[in-house]
Amino acid sequence: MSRVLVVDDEHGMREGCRRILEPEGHHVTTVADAEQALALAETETWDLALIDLRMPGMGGIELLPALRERDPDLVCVIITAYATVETAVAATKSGAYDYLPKPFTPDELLMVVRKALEHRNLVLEARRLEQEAGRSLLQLATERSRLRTIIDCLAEAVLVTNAAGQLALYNPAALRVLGLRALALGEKAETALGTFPALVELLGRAQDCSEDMLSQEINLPGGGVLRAVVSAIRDEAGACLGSVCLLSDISELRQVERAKAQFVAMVAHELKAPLAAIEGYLDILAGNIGRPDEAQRAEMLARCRQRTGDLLKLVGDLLDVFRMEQGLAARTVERVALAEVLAEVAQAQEPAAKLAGVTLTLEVPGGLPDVRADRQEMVRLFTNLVSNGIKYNRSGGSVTVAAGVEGQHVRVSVADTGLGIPAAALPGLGSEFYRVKTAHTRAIPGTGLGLAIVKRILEANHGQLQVTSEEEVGSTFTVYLPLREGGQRDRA
Amino acid sequence: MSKPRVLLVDDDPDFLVIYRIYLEAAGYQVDTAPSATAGLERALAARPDVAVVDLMMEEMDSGVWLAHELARRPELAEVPVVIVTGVREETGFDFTLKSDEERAWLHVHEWVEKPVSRERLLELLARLVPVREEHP
Repeated sequence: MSRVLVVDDEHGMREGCRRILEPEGHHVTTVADAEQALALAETETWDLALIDLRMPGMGGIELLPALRERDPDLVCVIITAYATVETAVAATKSGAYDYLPKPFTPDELLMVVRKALEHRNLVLEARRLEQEAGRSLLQLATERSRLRTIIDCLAEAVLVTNAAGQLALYNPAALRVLGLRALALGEKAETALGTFPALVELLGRAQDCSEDMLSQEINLPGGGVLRAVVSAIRDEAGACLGSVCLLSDISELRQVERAKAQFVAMVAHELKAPLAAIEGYLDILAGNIGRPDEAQRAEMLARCRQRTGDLLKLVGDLLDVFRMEQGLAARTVERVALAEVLAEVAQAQEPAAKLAGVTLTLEVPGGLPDVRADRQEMVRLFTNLVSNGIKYNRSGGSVTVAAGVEGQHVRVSVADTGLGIPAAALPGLGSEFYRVKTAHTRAIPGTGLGLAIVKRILEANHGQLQVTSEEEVGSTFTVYLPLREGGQRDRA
Repeated sequence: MSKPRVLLVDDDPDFLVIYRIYLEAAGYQVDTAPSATAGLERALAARPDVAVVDLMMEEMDSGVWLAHELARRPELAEVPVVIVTGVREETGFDFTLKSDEERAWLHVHEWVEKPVSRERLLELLARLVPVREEHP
């Protein structure tokens, strides 16, 4: 339903229009002069205005722009008894869409009205499209800046080159991984990235899009390693537009891989030596090489058993290290009464101490506060330290386990009167398979993992280890565990 | 009849026992030492015809140290040295001893992977110091 305004000073004309248009489903408003029309326009809108050219007071030619000022999309048709070329031109100039000469038939009126309303729909549709276009332009601009923000925030470095091999875009991460302060957009890659010949070479290969994706590791002058992945950028028709290069810093990954490979090699070596010894003995026994007598055969079997035991212990230790490393160990952090743990460990180690002729003493004051830790780990930790204290001791020596509170920590020291550790060997303590080799330690069995496990347990429990030692006098391993949970959080 | 004298140097007591049995059964006379420094003392005390030395003992390169110490003493300079090691695993170095330069630089005649089988050990020594009826 369209709303039509009729402005005419002739009553008959107004009512005639109403009678013709209302049956067609239009809503018709009539007014007798321009002033009334303008007053009504303050509160109402119409799709179409039929305006008489000649009226007392303000005429149609003046009313028309005044109405359109209020509603620019209002379609106006001038009704005139003076159907001349001049009036038609004047009407059109003032913004009229059409004019209708008097007298007119109902059909003529309906036809003009239909045409004008069609025009009105077109105008409204155009307006809608225009608004929509404006909106999507705005969206597009927002999208661009959003995309740019995302690219700038990527942890991975991004470098884009165009088909001419010029640098077209980069993000801050690119500057960071390449260690540059700035890159010149529009410059050839070989100029802009001249200090990275491998990268320039890779970008050069990708420039013609002959490959969809290229990847390569780039060694940085500073010693770091980057992984570069270059993808071709093609338009919808498949034409080459350039390439996008992602750079990620894999230096740390490489270091971890190297350390892992080294660890595996060391494990293999540590497993091989006892196995080779066992194999050697078995060969001799099976082949009766050198015709060993009964006592010698028994000794060889005892050695085989000893080394098999060592191997099993090593495998056990390795699994512990592995589980801790992977975070696979089922840890239960709870209140642990350290005094109990220490008494338990001392009791378990007593037979070994006796065998070695070492006196094991426990100096734990009453009321030693509990700590928050994994109980099993605490048992393992102090077992390793006490067992070391006994192993690397001398007959008649002692191991003293003393505990106390120091600041925000519980301190437990395990002091032995043993061989001591050469100062040069101290930094290596706690590394996997690191064993201090001296004339005295040769005969002492060990996996080289005891202190590595101690170190890992302390890391997991926010603790610290301090080692003091004097050769031929003894060593003291002091453990510090936080009194309250999170007491060492800043150091964790 | 004098048997060729082999000096075994290793900080793993089991290898000393095992290699000694292999070698004595094959007609060699065997001296052992549990460290490079002890090995040098043994070599000075009783000149060996060949030394089979573990690489890693007191130090990462104790075997090479011993080879050098032997080489700089005129009476021991001619003693061939066999280094036994899982060197690639232990040190990350990969000595092949393919060139004479490498041999001369290290004063090492052979570089063998640990563990050495009985056959390999005997084959190696047969080449360096054949078991002879007459020994100087």
